[in-house]
Amino acid sequence: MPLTTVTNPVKAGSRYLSGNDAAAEGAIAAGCRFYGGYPITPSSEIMEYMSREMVPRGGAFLQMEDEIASISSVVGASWSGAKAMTATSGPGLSLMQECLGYAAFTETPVVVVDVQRAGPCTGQATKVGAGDIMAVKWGSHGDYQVVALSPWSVQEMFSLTVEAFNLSERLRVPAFLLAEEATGHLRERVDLPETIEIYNRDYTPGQPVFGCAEADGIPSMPCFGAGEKLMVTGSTHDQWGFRKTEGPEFHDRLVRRLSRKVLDRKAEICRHEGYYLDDAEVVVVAYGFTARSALRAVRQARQDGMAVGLLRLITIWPFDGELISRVAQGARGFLVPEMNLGQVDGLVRSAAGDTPVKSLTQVNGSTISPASILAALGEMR
Amino acid sequence: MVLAGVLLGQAAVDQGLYAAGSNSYGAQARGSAARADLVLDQQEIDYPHVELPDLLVAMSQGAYDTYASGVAPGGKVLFDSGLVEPKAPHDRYGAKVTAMSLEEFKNRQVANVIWVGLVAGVTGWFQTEVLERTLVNLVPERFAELNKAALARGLELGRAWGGA
Amino acid sequence: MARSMEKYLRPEVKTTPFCPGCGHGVLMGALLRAMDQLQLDMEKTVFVSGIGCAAWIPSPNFAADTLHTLHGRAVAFASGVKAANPDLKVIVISGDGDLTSIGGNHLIHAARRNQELTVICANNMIYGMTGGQMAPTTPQGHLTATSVQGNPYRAFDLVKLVKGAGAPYVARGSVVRPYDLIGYLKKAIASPDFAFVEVLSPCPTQYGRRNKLDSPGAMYDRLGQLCRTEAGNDPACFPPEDALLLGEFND
Repeated sequence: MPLTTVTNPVKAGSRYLSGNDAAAEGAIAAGCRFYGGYPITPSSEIMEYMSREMVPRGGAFLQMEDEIASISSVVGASWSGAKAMTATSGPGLSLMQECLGYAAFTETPVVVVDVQRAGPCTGQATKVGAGDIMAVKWGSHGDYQVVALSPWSVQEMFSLTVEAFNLSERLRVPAFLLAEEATGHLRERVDLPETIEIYNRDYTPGQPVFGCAEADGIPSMPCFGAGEKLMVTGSTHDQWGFRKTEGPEFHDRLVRRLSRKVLDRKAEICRHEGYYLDDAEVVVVAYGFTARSALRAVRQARQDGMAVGLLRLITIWPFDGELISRVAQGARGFLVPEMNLGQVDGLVRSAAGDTPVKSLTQVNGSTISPASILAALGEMR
Repeated sequence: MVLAGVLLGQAAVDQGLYAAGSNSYGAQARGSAARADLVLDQQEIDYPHVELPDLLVAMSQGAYDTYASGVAPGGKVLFDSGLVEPKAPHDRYGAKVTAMSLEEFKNRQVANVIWVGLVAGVTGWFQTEVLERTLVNLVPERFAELNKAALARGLELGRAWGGA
Repeated sequence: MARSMEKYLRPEVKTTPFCPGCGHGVLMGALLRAMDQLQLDMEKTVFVSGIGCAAWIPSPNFAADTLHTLHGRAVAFASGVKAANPDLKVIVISGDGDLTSIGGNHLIHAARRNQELTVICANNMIYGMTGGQMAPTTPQGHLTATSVQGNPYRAFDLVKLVKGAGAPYVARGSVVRPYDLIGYLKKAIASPDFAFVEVLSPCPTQYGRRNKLDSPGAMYDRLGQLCRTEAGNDPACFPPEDALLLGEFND
């Protein structure tokens, strides 16, 4: 596995950065060499940063005419051999969906930072939301899998962007950083390491590019100009890329492998953090900024004598239902606070078995306060 | 306003503290009621938004009216006495900072930096040389001296209050 | 097709996917000859296409890197391919509906940015693959599956469109004048700028049979009559009203 340790190309040490700047620095640290984008609140600072940094670092930056073009250029650049990304928010994400399906189907590594705002539609463009949880997974047509990570701090805007690149390159899938306006615009101290581990894509000359013997395998990933005479197509294809638009076996095998290559690796991909879970009777399941409110609330509730804990999901997709099922064994209830109307709540319910799940939803364009979570916990006493 | 928050946060990190800052964003940040929040700690900050502020700087009557009553018991309310009519008798940290920036520095923008000096002076939380270095890094070079002078003016006033 | 061009094709490909009489095979042959005359390094050339009949000219036929993209997005994909590796020659080949309707915005903005890309638009004035629907290039009054009373709209003048968007090299050729076409294609491919070639290419299956041009031969005859060049115009003899001006349109 070609995970290599490199000197962090961005300034190490204690820094005071905004989340969006930290995501841009994470991309640079991961080896990103192409950014294609279109301005959209509240993600634009990432694009502005990359417009300054890409060319001096030997990469390329294109301001495209819309988000459809942005993600299309990113897919094209990825096949030219560059680690490539874009950043956007809800409306832009919606426009990108067809091409995200293309990336999944052609197994193109791409990273999308989605700085979520209060949707649907134009909604409250400068306000926070977390309503894109399902959109990043189910937004394009057909069956496919992606990776989506949820940062709760500026530190993780950096580190999870690096991880999104690593997973995207390794699994050959679109990887999302499911950021939120509250974290994108938060400024915090970050402690950036001197070295970081990055994954450079696997390429073995002459190997099939779009298939392998294993039903959950990840094929070799060459690039244009390497003499491979690549046939990249969004139509159903065989392991070499020849279009196979007739014949049920080709489509079935391909679609199943694209899912299995991610789902069969859940144990390696999925990450979480637990706080006070050992004796917790009520477990708050939270992610992103909301998990910070939840941690504050859980600590307060502990002081008030409640046996509560926090399960923070770092990986949202693939969803680790087995983790929820395990935690459910020892819990008498889950609380799922979210800045949407219960998108992860449904996933938790589907894995919680008989353990009751309480949903705390807020879609008013502001973050959920620790007090709101504490009050909801109080009702579960 | 945004600059003041970033300056204090950056200076705090530069002297080894943890800081988390948020500010108004979008149309607000471009003119109307703008707000910058800062949380400081010697340990990692779990919840980064301000819940119960120990210190408020109210640069307008609207800000004072909205936020002054939410300051923690024993906390300080600093206000621009040229623009704000304080309602609570214990709010005694008033200075005509906006007027001062116009009259002494012929520049409305440096009011921010005078306030940073005031906050640093009255709290004693910040090292002067770190603040100065951070400020010089954040503002355009041609305004460096002007901003340093404004910072010094604020520090002087703030220290007087701090001793009071 | 001359056997000498076979070296540019994948050995697995035995036939073209095109209907009898389709002009795209002629365009494919002209393009191969242009590339051959330029001694283009196929290992450093990427062919990008969208969705539609013309998108199948390079994909999978050409023995080079091919990127068969989404409907309309070929130019946007190509921009990323080129930006990330400027050593590659990037040639976009797609149809009129793909490049100028669903992909019209990408086309004009790529022309404005003037990135080095060659864009070849096979214009058959109709949506062929989907069954003969009206395109933005369908001449006014002509019959299609979605304009059975006759197209009520004017057609795009692609040369003016792309030139207006800033492309330094713009040409219009036709498969009925293949040698001129090879010349335009060569100049476009060799250009260090954004270069656009519109190629008029008949679609007997969807277009001809709806517009009283019952055989491929009739379509080629009609196209031959309509295609004019500035130099070939006899001032004493007016060209037909719907004449199509071929040539290079550069300042």
